[in-house]
Amino acid sequence: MEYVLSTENLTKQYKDFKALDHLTMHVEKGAIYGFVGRNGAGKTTLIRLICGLQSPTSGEYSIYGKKYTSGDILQMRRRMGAVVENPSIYLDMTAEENIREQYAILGRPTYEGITELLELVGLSGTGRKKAKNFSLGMRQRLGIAIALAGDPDFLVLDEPVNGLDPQGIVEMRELILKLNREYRITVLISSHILDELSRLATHYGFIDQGRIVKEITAGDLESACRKCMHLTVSDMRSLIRVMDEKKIEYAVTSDQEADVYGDWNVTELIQSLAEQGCIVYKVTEKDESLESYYINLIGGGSHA
Amino acid sequence: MRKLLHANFLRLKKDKYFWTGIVVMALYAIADCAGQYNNMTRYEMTVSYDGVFFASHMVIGMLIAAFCSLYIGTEYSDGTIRNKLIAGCDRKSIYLSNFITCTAAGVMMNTVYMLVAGILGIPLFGFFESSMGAVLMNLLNSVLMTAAFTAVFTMLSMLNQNKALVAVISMIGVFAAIILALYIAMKLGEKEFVDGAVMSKTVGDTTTQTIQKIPNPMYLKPAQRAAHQFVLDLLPTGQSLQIASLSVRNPWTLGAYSLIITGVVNIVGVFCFKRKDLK
Repeated sequence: MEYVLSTENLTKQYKDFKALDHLTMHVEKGAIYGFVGRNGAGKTTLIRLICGLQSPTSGEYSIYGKKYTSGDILQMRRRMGAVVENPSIYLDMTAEENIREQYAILGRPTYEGITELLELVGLSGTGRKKAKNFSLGMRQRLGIAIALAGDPDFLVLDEPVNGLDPQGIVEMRELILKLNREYRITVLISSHILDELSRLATHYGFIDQGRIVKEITAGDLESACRKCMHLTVSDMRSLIRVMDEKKIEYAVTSDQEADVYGDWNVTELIQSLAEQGCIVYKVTEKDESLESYYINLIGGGSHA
Repeated sequence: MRKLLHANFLRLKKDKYFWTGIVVMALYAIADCAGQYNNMTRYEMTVSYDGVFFASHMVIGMLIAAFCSLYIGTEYSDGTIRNKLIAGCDRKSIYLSNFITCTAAGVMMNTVYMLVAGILGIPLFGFFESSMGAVLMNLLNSVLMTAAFTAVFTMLSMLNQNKALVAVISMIGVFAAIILALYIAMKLGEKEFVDGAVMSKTVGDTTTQTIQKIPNPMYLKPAQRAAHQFVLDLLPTGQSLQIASLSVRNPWTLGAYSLIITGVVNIVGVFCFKRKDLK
């Protein structure tokens, strides 16, 4: 298995606070790795460490197999692009000027490819508009364009959809999927928006109090999670009676609503309820797999 | 380092703080020439071109303090310093490229002043009265002093991520250092003797008054004098004061001190920046 990023007992201590506590994780090549955890769990701290903004207190990490203490780590970082917290852009420059600046930092001999890069992130029409006049979504996309300026193989995005409107979230998702599928870029996304992450990630790493609680692939997560049907009915007593008779697992969520688990025939169930005089108002498939999995893993009192 | 310098100068070309500094220096040169010409014609004061040419050194320290904190501070406030680190640039190169860029900006601002002062000043006040050797020595010391100033403010800006705080600290610091330099220069300028008691002697109808010189209690003793001169030569603001007032006593010492300050401050700055946790 080829890992783009792997960490071993990585620890970061700020005075009395341990932000990362012997964290061990592995990001497979080609994956979209969803890094899930509540606020303050240590997601951004890990990203700061792997981007070279901070040094670990103990433990180690490797990028493309090179340890962070090795002399080659700077070369490996050239294969990385990252947007840490807020997009890192010069607000007094246009989108094109910002990318030119990054090209200069990277030592690229020409400015070829800037137009294509701006098109890729949907900023080709911004012209002379300065970044300080961009919307949050545009800044976020410009941040990604800068991260992509060095043609990275590994992209690190810290909360990329935070603060975006629904349209912006959809565009960001499509961009990340495009980068992964068409450009074969491995992506590490930290987020606490589970619904959004579940539409993207091929692998998950759940972090809590600076430790990785679980690493799992999206396929394994799906099979580990239980889907259910959510029913809204007129008479809960009738529903309970029918469920007990048919030995179907269920959970009542309110006077008129219940989650029903397992495989069963919808027509048969509705007919049985009708015979009991119970009207079924609504049947919806409930797929809160990632959320419920996360809650079970981290604990109900926590919020993702 | 070469790539970072290229990127920094690319940014400098579009930097509003840099161009504001250039315009301020050009306007200052015009104002100084006009003011000195007014003094010369209206009040019959003696004005030398040398004094006009080097007058910018009184303000260059303030300008560098403001420029460094804003130019480098933007890298923190906009977060763009992260792009350099993520792109695999090493911290020493990032630090030193910022120092070199800010030094170049300071030298360019001073050069603009001198150019404008040359264009306006030579027709009004004539050419240098000092020897060309002395002028060139002052110019060399001016560049080294600019580097020393920049080293100090680069360190402040690189080690503190709060742009506004650094700007305030830098400005307060430079003002305090200017006041200290002025105070030291004043102490060193004290005369050894001052006019003291008036002796009157009357012989017949004639009264003769004799002013007796008495030792000045403010006059520094040799050891104190050496210490004060050392601080004045060491402080970049002391150097700027001496260059601006054409009163450099130890030209080679000034340059050597600037080089020492630049070297030591940069070594300490790079050392601390390498260990700094960035957000």
